[in-house]
Amino acid sequence: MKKFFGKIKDWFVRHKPSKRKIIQVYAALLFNANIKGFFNGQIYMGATKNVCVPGLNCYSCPGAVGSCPLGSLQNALAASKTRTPAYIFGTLILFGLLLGRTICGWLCPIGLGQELLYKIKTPKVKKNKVTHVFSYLKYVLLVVLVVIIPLMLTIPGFCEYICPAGTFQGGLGLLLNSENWDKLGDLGPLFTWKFTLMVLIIVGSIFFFRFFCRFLCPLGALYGFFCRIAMLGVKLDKNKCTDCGLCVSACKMDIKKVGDHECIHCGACISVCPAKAISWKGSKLLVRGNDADAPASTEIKPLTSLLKRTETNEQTVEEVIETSKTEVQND
Amino acid sequence: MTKKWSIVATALAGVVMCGALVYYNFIDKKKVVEGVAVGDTCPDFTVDTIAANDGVFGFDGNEYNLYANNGKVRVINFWATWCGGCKEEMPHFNEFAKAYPEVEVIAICGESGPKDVVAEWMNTDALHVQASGWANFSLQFGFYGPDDENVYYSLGGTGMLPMTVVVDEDGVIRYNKEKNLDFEGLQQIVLPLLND
Repeated sequence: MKKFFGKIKDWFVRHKPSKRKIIQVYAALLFNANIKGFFNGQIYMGATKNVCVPGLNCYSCPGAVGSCPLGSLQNALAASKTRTPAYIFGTLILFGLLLGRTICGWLCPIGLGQELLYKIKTPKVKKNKVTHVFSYLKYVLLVVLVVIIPLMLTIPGFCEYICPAGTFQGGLGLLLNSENWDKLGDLGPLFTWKFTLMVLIIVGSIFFFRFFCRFLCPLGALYGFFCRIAMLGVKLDKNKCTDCGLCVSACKMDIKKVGDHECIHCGACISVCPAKAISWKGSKLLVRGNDADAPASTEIKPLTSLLKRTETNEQTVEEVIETSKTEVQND
Repeated sequence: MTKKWSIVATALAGVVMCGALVYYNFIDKKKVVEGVAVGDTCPDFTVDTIAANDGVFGFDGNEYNLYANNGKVRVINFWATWCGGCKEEMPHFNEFAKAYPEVEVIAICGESGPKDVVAEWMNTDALHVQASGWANFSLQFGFYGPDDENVYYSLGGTGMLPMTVVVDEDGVIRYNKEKNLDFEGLQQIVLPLLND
């Protein structure tokens, strides 16, 4: 009996979810907190629907309590002849500046879904030159389906023709409810196309890490433009970096270097780096200087250690503060 | 992060999640609209009408009132400029209005923007509706804006488009669904009412 419980305990210890996974599940649940929608088959239409959630999460999901930023952008551009799409631009810039693609790695429910699919034990296709080339496809989709088609034809192109999140959350989410079965007759070739595409993407995600994010997601492409200026995310200390390339080879995304436009800031490279050159950006905001275990502790020199040095080097406190200031600047 | 802060953050996250789940599932209930089921008397409404003058849409200053048209069978279709399914079924409604002039067909659009948006859109949108364009439609077009009564909700709309409501001569709702309809579908619903 004891052995049995021990085994269960071992399983839980081995399968303990990472902090990131917990935050991903938390965000997915929070963005879709209208659980009753799944039971009554209706879309939530309350006040918070006027606000975008940061990740890709279909407006038409019965659980969704906010709008999808990508869908909002397309509809705002489609209606831009008569209304300036200032609100959605501001929202996207705000998300980009604060979080950038950290959203992809930590908050996007579709990203979480793909990571869970990738856990299915099959042979995997590792990243290579071909996947790297295909990673630029999402920029093409961004320009053509999210910008040009909505502007020219007033159709939200990506939502209408591609988005698997729409098919899964909005389409299937609503159709699974018997209240909506009278609409099954309305499904046409477009649904067949989108359903097929969704199945292909699901199968793709089993064999390729984050298949949709890497090759197709225009929202990730958009947030990628903020990679240099986003307040949160991972960053590389060039002074410490030895160019060993372990971080890039350990990363499952098509990055060329840590923190570039393909990086989703999952933080997997932090523990891989032998030189401890990778740390969290914005950690000054969150991490206190004398936090021993945090990687940021190297950035802000704890005052106590400086004072110890004072004793040995016989510097004055003013000198110490001067040197510590220049050190921080050099960082 | 220190242990104290991570406990505070976890507690805060827990409170936010619990608050959201309770709010969305138990507090923020959808307003139940009375009197919109089939067999009920349709609530009255008034909308501004949009009419084409020499092929150019604009507000003609007229209004459409449901009760003022009692004695006729009325087909009330709800659509929006961004709704693809609505635009697909619009030609069917047009054909139906032509084939059965005794039936009043009105296509009502709700828009959260300024009032002229819809008329302006109908003048410039050439893609979706037949090569002939919107102006050749012999449909009546209605409009309500952000400051008007939301007719869609007051007739029982839950958030999906297109929606069509059919009201008989006595003002009783005989069909009310958020669903696409074509010419034959309209015939099936409306013709039995004409023969009554």
